[in-house]
Amino acid sequence: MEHIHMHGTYDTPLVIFSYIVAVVASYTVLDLVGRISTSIGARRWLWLLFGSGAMGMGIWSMHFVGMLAFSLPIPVAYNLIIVVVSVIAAIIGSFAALYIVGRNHLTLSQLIWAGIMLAIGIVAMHYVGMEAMLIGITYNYWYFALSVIIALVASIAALWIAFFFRRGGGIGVAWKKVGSGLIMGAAITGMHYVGMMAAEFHVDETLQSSAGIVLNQSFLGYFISGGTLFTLGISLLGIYLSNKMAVKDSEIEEKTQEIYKMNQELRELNGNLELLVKERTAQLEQAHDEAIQANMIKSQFLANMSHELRTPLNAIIGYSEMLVEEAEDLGEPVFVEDLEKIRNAGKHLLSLINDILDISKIEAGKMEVHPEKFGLTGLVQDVITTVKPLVDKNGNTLVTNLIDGEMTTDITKLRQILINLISNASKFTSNGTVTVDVYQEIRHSRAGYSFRITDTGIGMTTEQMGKLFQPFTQADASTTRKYGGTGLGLAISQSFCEFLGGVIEVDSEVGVGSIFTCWLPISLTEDISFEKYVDVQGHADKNGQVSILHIDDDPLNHQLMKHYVAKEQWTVSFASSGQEGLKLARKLRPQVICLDILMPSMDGWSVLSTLKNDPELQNIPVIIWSMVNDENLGYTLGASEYLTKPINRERLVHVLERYIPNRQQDSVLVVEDDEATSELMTRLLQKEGYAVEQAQNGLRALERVKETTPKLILLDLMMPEMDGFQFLEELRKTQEWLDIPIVVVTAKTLTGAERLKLNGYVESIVQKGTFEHKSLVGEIKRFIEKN
Amino acid sequence: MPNILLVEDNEMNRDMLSRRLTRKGFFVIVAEDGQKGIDLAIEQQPDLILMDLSLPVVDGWEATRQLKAMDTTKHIPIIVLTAHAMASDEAEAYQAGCDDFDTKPIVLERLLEKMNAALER
Repeated sequence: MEHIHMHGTYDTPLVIFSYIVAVVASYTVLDLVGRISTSIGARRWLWLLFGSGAMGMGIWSMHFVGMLAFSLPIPVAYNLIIVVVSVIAAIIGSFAALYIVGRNHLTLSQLIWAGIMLAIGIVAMHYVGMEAMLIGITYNYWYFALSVIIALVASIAALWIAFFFRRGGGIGVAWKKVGSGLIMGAAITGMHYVGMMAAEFHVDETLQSSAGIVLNQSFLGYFISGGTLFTLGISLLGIYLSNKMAVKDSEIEEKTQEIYKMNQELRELNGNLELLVKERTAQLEQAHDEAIQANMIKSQFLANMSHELRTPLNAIIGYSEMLVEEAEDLGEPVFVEDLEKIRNAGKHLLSLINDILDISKIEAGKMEVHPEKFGLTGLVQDVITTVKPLVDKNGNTLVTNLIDGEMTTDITKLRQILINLISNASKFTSNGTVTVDVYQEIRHSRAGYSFRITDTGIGMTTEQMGKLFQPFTQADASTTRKYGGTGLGLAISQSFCEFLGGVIEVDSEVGVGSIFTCWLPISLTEDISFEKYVDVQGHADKNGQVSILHIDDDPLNHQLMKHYVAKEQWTVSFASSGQEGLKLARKLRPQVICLDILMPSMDGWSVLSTLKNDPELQNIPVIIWSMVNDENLGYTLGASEYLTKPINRERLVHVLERYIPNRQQDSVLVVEDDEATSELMTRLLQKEGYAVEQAQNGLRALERVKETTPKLILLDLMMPEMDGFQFLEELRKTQEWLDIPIVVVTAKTLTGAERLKLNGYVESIVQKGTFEHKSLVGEIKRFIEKN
Repeated sequence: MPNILLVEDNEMNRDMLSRRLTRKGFFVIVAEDGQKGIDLAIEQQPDLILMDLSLPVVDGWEATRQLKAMDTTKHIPIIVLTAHAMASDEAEAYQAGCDDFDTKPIVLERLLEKMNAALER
């Protein structure tokens, strides 16, 4: 075997170029390390591949450029497979190194490991690459070891620098990267050329014969250019992408800064605003306190002042009164007339001062309430006596519809309210009618009385009504000139009324008249709930029957209903919610229920279906009176009538009339020999509004039937003189009496034969002692209404 | 002829009421403050006292209390007259021991009724 030892020479420009390639590759990789560390998931892997590819190719390119720079005196063939393996070794080494360095935290051992990996990669690449040369190479061990150490130290240093610069950031980072790129490039090239120094080439004939490719300079040129271009391309791509990302990052950063700033400003503004609001609130509070204080002082002043005014006024009225008497005694009619004028003017002034005193007391919070128990009739008579002269003065007629009853409230204030309302009505009405109605009314489940004063006077517009109860306000300024008064009367009355737990309402139409309704609870001292009231009184009105229960949440509709049925002899109870309506329906058993649909919390449909599913209530006819037009649903749920708002009075009354039978025309004949039982039945039926006739036996009963044909007969069977069976036989003889429904009420246990006898002639058989009053009354009602 | 003591500081009211009562057939003596009222009541032993409340020297409440505390005068009915319209005044007046209470301005018929009722007792 012949060994030819050779020494190559270097082409200086190519050596420099190899260094540049190494630097560019290093720089790219160092730049990419940052990207790797900040990315996660698939992107991280992508960056890793890019990085390791670029670095591996860079190292490899450098190596081959270095090899190109080195020329041996003979052509050298390369084993392509080994060349590829050397590239892969470089890439793997780079990948491992980058994988370790790409972490956010780096320990010394990790750094060393990464360096070792990179060094192994570089060294492996270099020597595998050398091995690809189909030429005999022997290595100088010292130089080999030196090249390995250079690779290791340079790798660790470069990676440390890369990691360090990534963390450092800030100004000059680009220069630092360039610096580290230079160092790393130097390391790679340094290693390469030291490695080359370690090699000693000699021609080995045997090896050369094997199938190798002799790479000529042009092929190598392509090859290297390709590798270099690839490296540069990767670098450029990486730099481009990272710049783009950086731009995006900086944009995001900028935006974040902006948002933060705005946030800060907003917070500041908010703080300022809060402060402002606080200040303003404090100011307002102070102003409010001051206003209240001022108002109290004003009221106190007025109270004192009116007191001071009353003393001289006293003298004026007193002296004029005295002089009237004296003038009468002296026979001086002219003086009497003038003195009367002085006295009347004084009295008028006094009433004004009294009003001011009242309103001042109200505003100063010094109004006191002294409840006492009294009868309504006495009170109203008393009031009417006082106001009669005023009513007469304008040629008005006074009509009163009263019920008697007792109430516990401040009678002085109620009297003043009524006097005020009636004198107002008289003042604004000439040659008309002033009507005073007193009736019971339940409001918000509280028993009470309503005092309604209706006039046929000038009336008011809605606007005028709006400010009616404000102190010192009359319907308009001209009213004061024409009708006099301070405009305090209604304000005082309303305040009094509120003190007494009630309210004054007004309804008016220009040119038609006004209706003022003052409602007060029955007792000021104890809260008599409606339930308690019903228990005490037994019934909601004197006749024992509530005609209409109106369930509607809008008080205006209650007013309307009241207004519409005012002329009828019906009693109306009002409920302002579905729940209250159901409660009242159970308590009152009204003859008919008027139901609104649109109500909060429980609508009319629910009320209707509850009513119709309650065996005790389902017989009460329900008239829907609503804006909602859904007749089908209404009738399906069991409504008797469906009226859509608006509706005129005649139509409403007409419909109601159908469901409110006048039971006074329905007489029931009670045939019963036991006086106690007869009395009980009679009372029960009377309570329901029926006219009742009594008969002690069959004979008497026949006489009664002859006099007036009853609508129904309640019949006992065991009676002296003529028993029930005989009576039935007699009754059947007359054709027109055949249709009278008969309900047998007996203590007797009927035999089959007896039952047979009764069959077909009586509507129902009720066992004494077992029946319930309510169900008996219900049956009676049903039979009567059927006929 | 019933003997009436009118205790009233306001000159006009005093003059007016005394003249009107005189015309109605009463014998009226007057005092312009509470102390004089007490003194005159002890001295003159009137059948009835009409007492204003806001009086100088000794006010009406105090005068009433003193008169009702003395054996020599406690039997004399006292009607308190006041321009105060507050209900608490009335309560206070009764507490002081007055027999009846009337508010100014005087309605002569009403006052006469009260006076006659007090005199009949």
